[in-house]
This record gives sequence, C-alpha cells and structure tokens, in this order.
Amino acid sequence: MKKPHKQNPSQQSAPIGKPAEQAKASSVAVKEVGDEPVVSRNSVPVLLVALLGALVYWGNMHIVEHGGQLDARVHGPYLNWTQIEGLQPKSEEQELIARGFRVYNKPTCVACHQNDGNGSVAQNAPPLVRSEWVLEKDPSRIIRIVLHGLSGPINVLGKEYGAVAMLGWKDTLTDQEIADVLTYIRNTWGNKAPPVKAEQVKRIRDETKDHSGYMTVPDLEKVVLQK
Amino acid sequence: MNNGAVLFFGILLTLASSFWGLLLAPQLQIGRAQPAVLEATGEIYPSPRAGLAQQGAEIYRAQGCAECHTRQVRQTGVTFELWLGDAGTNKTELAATMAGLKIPDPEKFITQAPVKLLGSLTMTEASSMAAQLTNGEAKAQAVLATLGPDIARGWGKRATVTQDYLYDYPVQLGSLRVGPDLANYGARAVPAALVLQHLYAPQSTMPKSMMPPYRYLFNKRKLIEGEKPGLGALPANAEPGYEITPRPEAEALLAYLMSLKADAPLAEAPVPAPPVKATPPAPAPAP
Repeated sequence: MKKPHKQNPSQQSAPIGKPAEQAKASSVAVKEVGDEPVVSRNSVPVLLVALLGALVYWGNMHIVEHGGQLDARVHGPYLNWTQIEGLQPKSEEQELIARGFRVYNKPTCVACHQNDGNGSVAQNAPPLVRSEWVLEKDPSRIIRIVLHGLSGPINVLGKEYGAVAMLGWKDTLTDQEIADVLTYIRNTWGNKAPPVKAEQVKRIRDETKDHSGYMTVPDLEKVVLQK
Repeated sequence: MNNGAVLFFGILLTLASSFWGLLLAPQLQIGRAQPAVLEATGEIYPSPRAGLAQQGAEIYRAQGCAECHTRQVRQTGVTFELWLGDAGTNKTELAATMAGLKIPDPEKFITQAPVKLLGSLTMTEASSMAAQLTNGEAKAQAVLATLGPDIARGWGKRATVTQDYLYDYPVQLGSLRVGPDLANYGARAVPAALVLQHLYAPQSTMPKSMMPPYRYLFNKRKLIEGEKPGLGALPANAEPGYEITPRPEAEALLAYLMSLKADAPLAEAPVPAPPVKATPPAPAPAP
C-alpha cells in the first residue's frame, strides 16, 4: 500500500478554535464535532475495478464482432468484407468456376493434383497448370480423361509420366459437375481456356459409353479435335 | 491540489480517447470517401445534385422535414432465393429434378419462368440447388434477397450506406418516423403533380396523414368567373375558385424529393437482382 497522505499539522490538532475562545463560549451550547474531516486515500474497491475491466472487455468484443474490422465499406447487417464479397453478383462463368471449385475440393481432383494444380510427383499426378491437355481449345480429350480415367504413360509439358493411374469419374460426377470442374481447372492458376458445357460432357459420355477401362494416350490421340 | 498532474492527465486521456473514437477514427475511415464506380453499369455514384435539387435540400432543411421523415433504410440480414430463369427445352427432365428437390408444382413453375421457386435458403443450399437445376438450356440461379422491416415496407431495396450521403451537407438522416422514410422517395415514381398536391394539402392525397400543410410554399390567386387554372397550377379541385401555383421554393423542394434515390447496386450494399424475362430480339429491318 501507499504511504498515508501527508497531512497538514494544523489539521491534526482536533479541537476547534483556540482554548481562550472555547472558554468564552462555554456558556453557549456548542455541539461537539470531534476531529475535522480529513481526506484520506482509500484504495478503489476491487469490485469497481472488476466491473470496469468487464466493461472494457465487453466494449472491445463488441467492436471486434460488430466493427466490421474497422473497414469503412462494411455496414450493418454485414459483419465483414469477406461476407459482402461473397454476395457480389457473379457472371455466369464466375458462377461455373465457383461451382467447379467446390467439385474440385469435394475431395476429388485435389487429392492428387493438389490445391495449386501443380500435381504431385509422389503420386505420379501431372500438373494441370499450363498443361497442353487441359488447355486444348476443344475439350473432347480432357472430358474423356475425367469420364474414364487415364492409364499412363503420358507426356505433359515435355515430361514423361509413366505409371499414371487416374480413376474415372463417370459414375460419381454428373455432366454438370464435370463441366464445372473442367471450367474451373481451365480458368484458374493462370490458365485461360473456353468454358466446358454440360452438353459437351453428355455427348461424349454417350459416344464413349461402350469404352471399358481407362483411357490411354493412343485412345485420346484418335479423337479428332475441332479447331 | 496535491494530485494536479494525475488529474490533468486523467482528463486529457479521457477527452483524447473520446476525440479519437468519435472524431478522428471516423474521419480517417470515411473522411476522404470518393464517389464509387458501379461494377454493373460503369456509372459513377453518387453524382452531385442538380442546382435546383441542391436548393431544395436547403428548403427541406428549413421546413424541418427531417423532424418527421428519416432518410435511412435499415436492413437486418440477407437470405437467398432459388429462381428459375429459363426452363429450356427438356421440360420433363427439369420437372423430375425439381420434384427431386421437393419443389411443389414443378409443371406450373416451368410455364411461368422466370419465377421464384424457393425462398429463405442459405447461399450454399440455393447455389447447389441452382447447380442441379442448371442443365442444358435450363437456367436456375441463387438470388440474393435483403431482409428487414423497412425493406418489407417498400422503403428501399437495400440498407443505406455512407456512399449514399456523400454530397449531402448537412446529412439530414432524421431520427423520428412520423411520416414514411424518404431515402428512396424519388425511386418510387410518385407523379410530380401529386407531390405538390401533397405539400399543399397533405390530407387530400393521404387521408390519415399527420403532415402539416405547407401552403406558404404556393401562390394563391382568386379566379374570375369561368377562368380555369393556368399551366403548372395544381388541378382545379385542389381549391375550387382559386389558382394554386408552386413558388420557386416548392419547385426546388420537389426537385430535391425527386432526387432522393439510394438504390444503386454498390459493392458494400448488394441489391437483389432477380432474372428478368429475356426480350426476344427485334426482327431485323427489311432491306
């Protein structure tokens, strides 16, 4: 604790007035007032400190939750910019890509081709980024790969991938999902190629319904691509 | 004054923190706000009010309109709706998918496209349903819908935000709603003649209105026998036997009221945009 307040010596001597005056006024009824009130230094009540602390905590949490991270663009009822960004109207292609992202991470493709689309050497998965198979203007070959899977070897970006074994997704994914995911991989990570339509997938699914097993590179090379 | 320094710094700290929180921080946040370019149309929003409307803002202020009318739309949240934009050609397959998603009366909806199929969905629900329905030529989409009592009353499509008041000085938000909110009054397409009539005699257009009449914003002239009110005057039944013409103040107030629009699709306040029926392309003119 702190030292007691240093008091004025005159305040310490309690009786009011001088002894002579006291004697003179003895006939008058003077009420005994005792010591002069003194300002002392009491410590602040712990409860008040706790209450103030709780108030500061509540205020801070309120700002954290409803302050929109102090972003001037965020107004109620929205809580943060990420939430508002998700609500922005999307063009049809953006919508396809957003849906494709969900299919890619179902998890389906992401397991081998990875989040960044660079594939995985350990799993013998070729990259999708800048891959000539992915970016072909006519998607007939890539649709076949996704529908039926692929058995290696395959040459991607000048590198030979020998024992590639990709599963076919024709029984797991719908035409629309395959179109979405292909549009996604053809338009992400710097890739740029026309979107894939569900009708294209449906047509190729019908054309190749007698195909059994995986696709191979010779199978794919037989497909005539439209310019 | 043994604790002068403590007292001084305590008061300074208290005032400085409130100065920081109430003045400086908002100034740093929005003090240099600039008009935004709308993503959808490329327009700049907001644009400064035209001169007459700017004068009207002063009339609005002088007449104390903001005492009874607010200019702020509140929003409590957002939800998503599933809309069918185009039914496409394969209607049987679409109807089957819709039945699978537990949408009642698929056949009826298909004939009505574009139509709202379901409401009160989350974004994930609505977009996954839309993805399932979108196949071939059929097009479904998840559409944002804003929620709130003000929006339900038709006072606006979205919450009003800072950007809407960028050219207002002072900002006349208002705090009491004796009358309706006016944030989107100009967007409600009320005919100009009706607005003037309402200013002259509020109860003549809104029987239960509590608005006081603003007759002193109009000139009144007694008509001679058989004379008709001139051009620009209120209709003859406004006050039979008299010609009531708006003064410049009333004209300015009208221009200001018509300029009140807070419905631009800003990035920070998304506006619901349900699909509209595609208009068939105009036939090519004969050569």
